[in-house]
Amino acid sequence: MEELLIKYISGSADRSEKKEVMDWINSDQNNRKEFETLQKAYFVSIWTDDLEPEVIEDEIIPIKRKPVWNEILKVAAVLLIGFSLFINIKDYVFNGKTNNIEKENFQSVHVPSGQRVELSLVDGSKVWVNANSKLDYPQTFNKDQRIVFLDGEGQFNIEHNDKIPFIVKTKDFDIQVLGTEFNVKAYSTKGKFETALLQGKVQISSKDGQNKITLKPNEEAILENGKLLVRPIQNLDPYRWVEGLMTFENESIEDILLKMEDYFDINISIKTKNLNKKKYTGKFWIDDGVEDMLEVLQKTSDFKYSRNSDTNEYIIY
Amino acid sequence: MEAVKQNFTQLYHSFHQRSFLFAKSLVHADDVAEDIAMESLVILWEKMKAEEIQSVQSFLFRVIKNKALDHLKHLKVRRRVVEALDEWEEGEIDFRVEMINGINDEQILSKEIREIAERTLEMLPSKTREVFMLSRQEYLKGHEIAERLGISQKGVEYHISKAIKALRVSLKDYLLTLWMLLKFFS
Repeated sequence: MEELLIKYISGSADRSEKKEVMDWINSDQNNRKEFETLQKAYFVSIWTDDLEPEVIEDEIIPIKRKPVWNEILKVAAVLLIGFSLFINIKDYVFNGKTNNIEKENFQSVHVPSGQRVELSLVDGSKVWVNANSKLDYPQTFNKDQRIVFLDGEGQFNIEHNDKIPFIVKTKDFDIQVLGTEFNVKAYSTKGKFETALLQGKVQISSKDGQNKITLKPNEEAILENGKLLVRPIQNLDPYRWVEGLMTFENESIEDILLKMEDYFDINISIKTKNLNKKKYTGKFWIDDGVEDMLEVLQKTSDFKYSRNSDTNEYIIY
Repeated sequence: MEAVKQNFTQLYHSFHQRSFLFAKSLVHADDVAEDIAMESLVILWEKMKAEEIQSVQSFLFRVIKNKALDHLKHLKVRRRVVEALDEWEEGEIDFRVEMINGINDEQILSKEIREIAERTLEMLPSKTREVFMLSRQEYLKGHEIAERLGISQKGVEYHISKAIKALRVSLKDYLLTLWMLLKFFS
């Protein structure tokens, strides 16, 4: 019936088909509602544009968050966890020998799965720290350099200061900046390293100081087979996590489900072999939640899911 | 003069196909839809030369809608005189008029609906999305898409109706929520 209705709505039905549609509509009040929705969908399909939103740098710079209250509550929640568990002055050595910096003065923030948090540093710089990430930062910076340690993903908006460089140290690389906005992804457990420069200028150097590269705006550096590759940023969406946007590019359902586990701190077990092998590109608002995402994925891949609320486990079958 | 011509070409390119599809959906006839689309674009163009238009799409939407309504009203009278209409046929035209009057362009063109549409379309299988884009973004006609992608025209129709169905599903949820909110606050 839906096919016929679409034919009718698009204006291509012949006389007998029109009659059939009219009979169907008059036979039940609900049919009329169905028709109206389908017609709206058709009009939307005609008038919708900007399917591929142009990549405009401006879009990413103002940090817009969708439901503000939700966001504030989340940040507050994370901060509370931070205060109760982690905000204590620690002294430990970050990953080995090359970092002989006094760390007594450092605070540490862990951001759990499914959360992200914005911090202001003493110099006025802003940092968004993503899920499953840790940032160590000092209560006061010393006079010749500003140093923070990152394990995980962070987006930095650094206050400009020519005289005092800002350095983000990660497991394998240091990123030195003057004043700039950039995204770093360096989860020590995954052996990955990525830096994307949105504005300004940064220099990345390996721990041994042998390799140094400089990024220009809209370039990203990615660690591949032990080498840093530099290329233009192809898509800004992955850096929009600060807004609560989760993006996928050419990823299989399995990969997407894996990412969801990380983001939402849930377990997903796949009990079917029939998940299709197609690659997906798309974005989701994290706030829309797990079930919303699963429902969207269901539309294109044939699976069912159930949730065990005791273990917070989702079963895909 | 040259600049003016070029701009009309651009306007035509961006809006002709959707104006035609929209008009056809209302009047159910290719030739009439083509006339309405063209006339509406000219009206839009004249208007744009005279003043700043807030939303080109809503303006065009309304012009086409009004022209389609005029056409249907005349059609009913003319058909009644020239050829006997079955009762259901009159009913069908009345039904279309009623539906057209019920269209709310602010809703159809709203940001929320655009976002929903965008998200829905992004989740479509890539072939379906490709066909849909060619039809709605590159303004190609059915047989042109079929040629370009090397699929049948039936295949093109299949993908487009698949996209529309997906939109219907997501809009349905949204409209339902909207309706409940309105109920709640009224």
